[in-house]
Amino acid sequence: MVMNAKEEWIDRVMASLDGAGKAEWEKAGKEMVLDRILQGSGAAKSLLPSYLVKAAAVILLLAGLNALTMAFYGKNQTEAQESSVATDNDSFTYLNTYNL
Amino acid sequence: LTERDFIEELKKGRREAYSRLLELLGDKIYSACAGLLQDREDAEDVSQEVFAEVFRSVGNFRGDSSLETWIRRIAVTKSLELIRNRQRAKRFGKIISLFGKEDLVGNMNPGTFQHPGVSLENRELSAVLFSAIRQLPANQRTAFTLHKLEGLSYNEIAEAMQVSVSSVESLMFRAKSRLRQLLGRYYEENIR
Repeated sequence: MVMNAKEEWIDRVMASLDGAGKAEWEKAGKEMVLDRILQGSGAAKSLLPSYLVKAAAVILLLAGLNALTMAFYGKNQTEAQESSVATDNDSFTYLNTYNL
Repeated sequence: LTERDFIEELKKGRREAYSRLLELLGDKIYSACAGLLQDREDAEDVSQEVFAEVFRSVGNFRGDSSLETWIRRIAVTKSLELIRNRQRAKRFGKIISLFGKEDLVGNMNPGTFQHPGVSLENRELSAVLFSAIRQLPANQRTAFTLHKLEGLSYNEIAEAMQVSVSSVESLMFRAKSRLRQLLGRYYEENIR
């Protein structure tokens, strides 16, 4: 009798979800997800994916750094070359003096 | 609009298409997550994650299954991930408490979960069942909940969980046996 009552109760518990309806997602939640996933997306984004924008930014940065480096060290290098030429000329002058 | 055309609209990132998708499947996915996770906030978060994933990955969707099956699979995977993380954290919390430290994780699911779809007369009994379901291993819990609460067939569950139908049958058999065992113990301790 006790066993029957226990089994009967277990059966009732196991059947307690039968015919349960669906939980409904609040409209605000759906709106939020819509805004979140589509934030900033659109035709422009689909034409130019974010990784392309990032790649372009990196290339521009590297090109800028290169230009700066060239402007700074390029000038110094010219001066160094000029002084080297002057030194070489001095040597030749020395040799010329002694008619060697 | 055929499903293929609809998917193309989704791939283009059209707001109207996503709005329609949420209208069609939003409640189904949220309800499945709510049943699996037994927490409305978690269900809300995971549902949002699911649709964000759809947005990110729809470009790779080949159409081998229906759109609904594919999205449900994402929902089940994400819910399972969360359940397993929680169960792992709970186990870790128990180990910590064994060493006399404070249980850092605490009780993961305080109180009793009430599924909004359950009728008023079944609320009390379903709360006991939900608490027993929480004791099941994650995959048994998933199979049982999808079948009982979402009314999915074994075939649909197999697709959603990416396992064979015979695995689902086995999971369901073990879940039911374990639940009857847990409920029997609960009856002995609280009802009798």
